[in-house]
Parts: sequence; structure tokens; C-alpha cells
Amino acid sequence: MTSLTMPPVAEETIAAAEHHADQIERLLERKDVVVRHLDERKLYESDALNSYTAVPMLVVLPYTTDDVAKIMAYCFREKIAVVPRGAGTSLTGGALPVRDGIVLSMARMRAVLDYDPASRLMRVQAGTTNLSISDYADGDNLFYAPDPSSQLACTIGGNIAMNSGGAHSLKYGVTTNNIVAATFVTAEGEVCTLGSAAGDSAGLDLMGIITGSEGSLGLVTEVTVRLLPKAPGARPILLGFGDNASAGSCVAAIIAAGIIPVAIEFMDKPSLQAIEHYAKAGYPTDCAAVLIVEVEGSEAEIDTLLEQVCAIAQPYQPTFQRIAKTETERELLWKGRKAAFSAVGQLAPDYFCIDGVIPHGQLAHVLRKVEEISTRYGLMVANVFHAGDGNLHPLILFDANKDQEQEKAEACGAEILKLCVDVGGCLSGEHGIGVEKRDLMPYQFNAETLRQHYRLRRAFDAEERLNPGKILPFSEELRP
Amino acid sequence: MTSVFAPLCAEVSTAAENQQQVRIVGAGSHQGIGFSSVKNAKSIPLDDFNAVEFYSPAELVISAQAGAKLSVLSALLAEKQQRFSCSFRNLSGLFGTHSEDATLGGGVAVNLSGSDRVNHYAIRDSVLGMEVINAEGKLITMGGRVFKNVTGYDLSKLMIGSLGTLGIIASVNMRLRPLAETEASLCFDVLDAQQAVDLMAKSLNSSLDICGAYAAQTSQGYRIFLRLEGFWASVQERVQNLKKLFRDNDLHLMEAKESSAQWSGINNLADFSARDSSEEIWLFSQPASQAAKVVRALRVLSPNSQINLDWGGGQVWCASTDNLSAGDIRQACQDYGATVQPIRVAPERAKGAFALDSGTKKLLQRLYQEFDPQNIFQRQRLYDNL
Repeated sequence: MTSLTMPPVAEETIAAAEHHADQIERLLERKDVVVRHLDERKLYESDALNSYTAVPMLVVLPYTTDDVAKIMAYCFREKIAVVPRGAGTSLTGGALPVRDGIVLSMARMRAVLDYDPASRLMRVQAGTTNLSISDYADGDNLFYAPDPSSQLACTIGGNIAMNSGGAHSLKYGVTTNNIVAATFVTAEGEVCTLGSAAGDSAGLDLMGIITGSEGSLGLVTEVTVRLLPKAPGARPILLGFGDNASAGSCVAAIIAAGIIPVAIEFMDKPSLQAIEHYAKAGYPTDCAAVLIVEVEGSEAEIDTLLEQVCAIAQPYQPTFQRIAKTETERELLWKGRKAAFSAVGQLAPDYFCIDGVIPHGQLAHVLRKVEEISTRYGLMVANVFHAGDGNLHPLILFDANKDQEQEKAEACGAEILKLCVDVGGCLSGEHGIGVEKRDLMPYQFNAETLRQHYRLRRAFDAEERLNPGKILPFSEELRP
Repeated sequence: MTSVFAPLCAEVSTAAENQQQVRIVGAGSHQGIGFSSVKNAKSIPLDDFNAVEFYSPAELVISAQAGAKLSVLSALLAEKQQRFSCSFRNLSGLFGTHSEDATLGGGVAVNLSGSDRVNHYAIRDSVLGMEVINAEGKLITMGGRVFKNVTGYDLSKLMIGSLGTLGIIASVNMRLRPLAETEASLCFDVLDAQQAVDLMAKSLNSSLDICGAYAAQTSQGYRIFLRLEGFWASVQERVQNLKKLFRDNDLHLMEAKESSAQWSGINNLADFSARDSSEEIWLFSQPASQAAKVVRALRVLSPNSQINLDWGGGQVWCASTDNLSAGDIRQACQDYGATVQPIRVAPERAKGAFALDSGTKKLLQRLYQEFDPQNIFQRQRLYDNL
């Protein structure tokens, strides 16, 4: 495991863990809310970035906003760090515990509190899974748009923490564009209402600032999401290309032509082969790269748009072209894409999923450079990503049991992320900073800007006890 | 490299040293918004900072300085068949300023999104990043030029709608979208606000991709306007489907030109600008399904007011001569989840419009204390009760 600088651990707090557990149970008047046993606490020692681990002092599983407020007020008083956790699917260590803190798991807060189809709004508890929101509204032909690959498991609270996107963000936006109000518990344990059900109410956009704040400003316990009516139909086309650069240039050409499909997904040859082996989605494994381009609308609209996409693709000499004709074919196509990360997991014992963003005009250039970088490190990289948003997900394959290979993979990832910043992009599109990219923040932002980030953090959590050690680099110099 | 904004930074630094408050001046088209500002504040005009810094049609991004006029930028974008991915309300008609003067910085600082917010992006969703001069006179970068971005805190969100009370917005990166090939609207009359809300919801919940749902009060009830945009064949097909959906109503079809003019008027609050300038204008935001109840409550307080609905009922605009006070209005509407914003209201009646719970109030106080401890950016313009 690579070493990571984290805040100093208060051993005296850990020594009093049993006392704190008793107190929290007493406050909540329940015996089933605190996990004390080491074996059970170990289940929470990491999130999906499992190269870093820390067993939390306690895990607390509240049921209501009122429970959360009591826990937060207690932890504030007792100076105990709090690490919020949704489903633990973060790829950047956003839910990595600290040894002297509690993990506040939202797993039991998954109720639908209010559903107003006429206003296209639903209020749910923060532990509700992303996909279950759409399932709930399905009967009214409505859905919740952001669709991270982990949507079956990930929670809406976690989505807010990381401002999650997904394959269909190109048209529908990311989490921040699809939520309107939240019940929020401050570091001190006060309950506030942020935003309003109509969206865009007057005053500072506190709802906007907590979105993507990785649980470091307070805890969202309930959220009101916007729902959208489903399009009459959607159909993807699979386009195969002879090289990565042609596929990349085709993406830029589609957007430049004024077409905004609902999704443009990119997969390179290593990914294609792994996915085909794993999910049997019917992908052409002899292509160097493929794009899934999905358009929506009525039958006539879909036909017209797909015709235009095909025409735009021609100069890039596609070697393969297939339109999904039925819903079953469409689902199969997407099944492959959604299984991509699991499939690539078969290629090597370990991988890092990198998440950087570039202007999509730079796709061809960046893909070439990524290949150069990975070759230099002697590591294989599989590329599966949301091309329409320029949101790259190079998967760096390695074997942690081999000497220095994890360090090499981390250095390779850091170099790719710096490349993203160099071409006008950013360090993270949808996975957040967590601990993984924390120390790269000064590469994107100057000291004055980082000080402004610290000022914000201090306004919400002056003692930095909420999700400590995440997002901002660990440097006294950068504190205002 | 010295930034083009160095003179502005210097002005803010000097103001901070002298503990002098500043007044940020764009076109002045929104100066009526917000609570009163101090008289002897130092003016910082932004009209010289109007350059387009970056425009990439292929990447759907434009960066412009805050003093750039929205009318000029829109014309530039239209040359490439593009537009902002949001629309800005233009309040110049309400405040007697020139509509073509409204600036990008002012539009972002006020954050009043137009009618198509009902299914397109709001201003807050279209801002990708910005440069801001903070209370120390330092230039801060927020966000970036790409759409997906969770690199640290999304600081630019705080600036949008801040009325410049947290810093000077110096330049803004905006997301763009292609201009629609054509548009059309359907309009028809209904008896009352509840029927208007129900039928707008029926259209917005359909798969027809409605991008405007407005209901204007008439002498007999309400007149609903529903807007469709897209390429020609698509609009034709959806118009037919929309007609089927409302076949029981007496429908009037507005072709592209008429439709475009109608919505431009709605965005610019033409219905209200044309009325007596002594009327006070209030804006209510609530779940669309509650709009008719808000209308009823307002009707009790002010029987002769003009009350129109936008965003399918998500917004209620009210013009009244009854000298309503924020306190009375809030009390009447609080059961319906409505928030209220004074748009053109005498300061004494606008007072206390924002209901802040104790937790939110503390957060805001600490935010301002961290970002602008000397209050040089006049936070009382946005919050009169902090």
C-alpha cells in the first residue's frame, strides 16, 4: 500500500470507543444502530478504492434525519471525526474511514418520503439507491437521469457527495443539474433545508456548493430530485474504427455538427475484448475502438439523427456499423458497456480507474499521449469512457503483488491526469477527489484558489472533522 | 503574467485597506433587484471588461469577460448556429434600462433563468467556471471549461445569484448548445389557474419534449402557451401529437416567427413591463403542483393583481398595487412550499423576504465572514437579515 498522509490519530478517542457507542445508543434510544465488533467494522475499512484501508472506531447506522442530527451533535461535542458512507462505491477513497472516527452509514435511510409526479419531483432519504428512484417513478413514465455505472448499488447521497454523472450526462447533466433541495445536517448537528422544490430560489446556492463536496461540509439526509419524462424511444448505433484517433475525432465532429446525442461512449480494443469475453454483447473485437452513440425521440427523429451520425462518421472510415433495432438489442449493447469495469477486471489482478476530463476536441491527441505514457511505464491501459463529455476513464492494469507495480500505476495515473489539466480539462469529472487525487489539486489550482477552497471548508466545518483528509492537499501553507 | 483584471484587483485591495464598500456596476439593468446598497460605496464599473476570451464552437464553450453584453454574445453565437445552454431573463423593461445593454456578469450574478429552464439548463447549470476577484483583491479561478468537473468545491455555484456579494465576477465560461432549427407553440384558453397547472403538467409529463409552459392571466381565466423546438420534421410531428393531447381545447398554432416573438416577450416579462410602473413585482417559486394554491392565496391578499405562471407553475409572477409586504406574503404561501423573491418592490415591504432557518443563517454568516470579513461587497444587498 502506498503511504498516505492523513490527520494525526487521537488514540484517546479510540480508547473511549465503547463509551461513545453507549452514548450514541442512549441518544438514539436504540440498540441496533452502532457496530462495535472488529470483524464487522472491518467490512467498512475501504470503499471501491481498496488500496487504502483504515478500520473505523465505530460504525453508526441511523434511521432518520433526527438520528443523524443527534449523532453529529454528539461527535461535534466530543471532537470525533465523521466519515459519511453511502454504498461505498467511491473509486477515489471518498469513504475511506479514519481510525479515530465513526463511519456514518446511510444504508438504513432508503425510504421514499414524497412523490409528486405532477411536479416531476421525488423526495427520498439519502441512502436510497440511484436506480430505485427511477424504478419508483417508472409507472408514470418518469425517470431520474444521472446514471452512474454503479446505479444499482450507489446511493443518491453518495451521488450528491461526488456529483456523479453517468453515460447519459451528455444530454441530461450530472447530479447537480437534477436535484433541487436537500435536508442537510451541519457539523454541529443543526438541520437545515437547502434549495427549494422549485429549483433556483433566490439567495446563495448552498445546495450547489454542497453537491460534490464529498461529505466534508455536512451530511445530506434527504433530497428532492427532479424527474424527467422518458423519451418515446432511444436507439444506439455501434460504430467501429481502425484506430483510437479516428474514433476520437468522430466524437468531436458529431458535437461540432450541432448534434447532442444522449450518450457517446468510447471503448478501445483491450476493453472490447474483455467485455466481449465477459458479457457477450456482440461487440466487434477486431476493431481498434468503438463508439456507442445513442439518440432519442420518436421513430422519425431517431431515424433522422442516426442517418446524420452515420454521415458525419464516414470521413473517419468506420470499419463496423450496427444500429440496435429492438429494445433487446439496445439493452445488450448497454449491458456490455455497463459491465466494462468488471470485465476489464479479468485482464489483470488489479486496476486503477482514472477519471479525468478533457475538451472533446482533444480526444485524439490525448488518447495518443495516454498510450505513450502507459508504454513508458510498461503498463497496459484499457480505455472505456464517456466520450461526449470528454470524461476519460483510463483503466490502468497492474499486479499489486509485483514489486513497485502499484506505485508505478499510481504515477502513471497522475501523469495522465496532469495531461488532462494541460489540455484544458480537469482532474475529476464524476468520481471526485477523495484521497486519490488530493495531492494533485495544486496542479490544477493556484495557492490563492486553494485558499478560497479552505475558507469554504472552514465556514462549514472549522475543525475539519467531517471526512478529514479528503479533497484538499494536506498543507499548512495553503490554509488562509 | 499580469492578468487583464489587475486594475480591478488593485481597486478591491485599496477598498479593503480603506474598509470601503464597493458597488459593482454592469449595465444597471438589474440594479433594482436586491435590497438597498450604501450610498457612498465606491463604484467599480465593468463595461471596459467586455472581451470574448475564448470561443470554441466545436467544444460548445465560450468564455467572456463579465462586462460583455449578452446581446453581443448571442449574436456572435448565432453566427455559428449556437446559443447559451440557458436563457437569461431580461428585466430592462421593468427597470427602464436598454435591453441590449444587459451583461453576462449581471445575468449570472442575478441568476434569473428564462422560460426554457423547464426542460433545459438554468443559468447555474450553464456556468462551467469563472474568474472572481475576492475580498483580498486576489483573482481566483473557479471550475473550468469542461462540463463534467468535480475537482474540489464547486465555488462558482456560490457566485451565481450572489449579486456580487462574495466577490466580483470577472469572467465566465458558459456552456453552449446548438440553436434549434425551428420552433412552434400552441396556445389555448382555460378557466382558471388550477386547470392551467393541470394541463401544463399533462404536457410536461408527456414525451413531447416541451421547452416552455407559460400561463398568462386573462379577463376570462388563463391563456396557456406550450413551446416545442427542434429540427423541422420533429417539430411538425410533435405539434400533431400535442394537438391530439389537447384535442378538447380550442387550439391556436403559432409558427416559428410568432412563437419566437411570444417567448422572447415572456422571457423579458413583457406582460409586466407594459403595465403601470408603480406596480410591485414579486416572484414565487414552488413545486408546480402547488402553483394554483399560491395563486389563490395571493388573490385573497391582492384581488386585482396580475398573476402569471411560468415553468409549468414552478414560478408564479405577481404584479400588485396593494403594497403587499414580504411578511404577509410568506405567511399566506408558506404551506405550499413557496419561496418568495421581491423583484421590483419598495425596500420597506421587501424586508424579511427570505425565511432562513437557524442552521442556514449560521452557515451564511460564517461563509460571509470567511470570504469577506469586512463586508466590502455589501452582503445586505442579498440578505437583509443576516
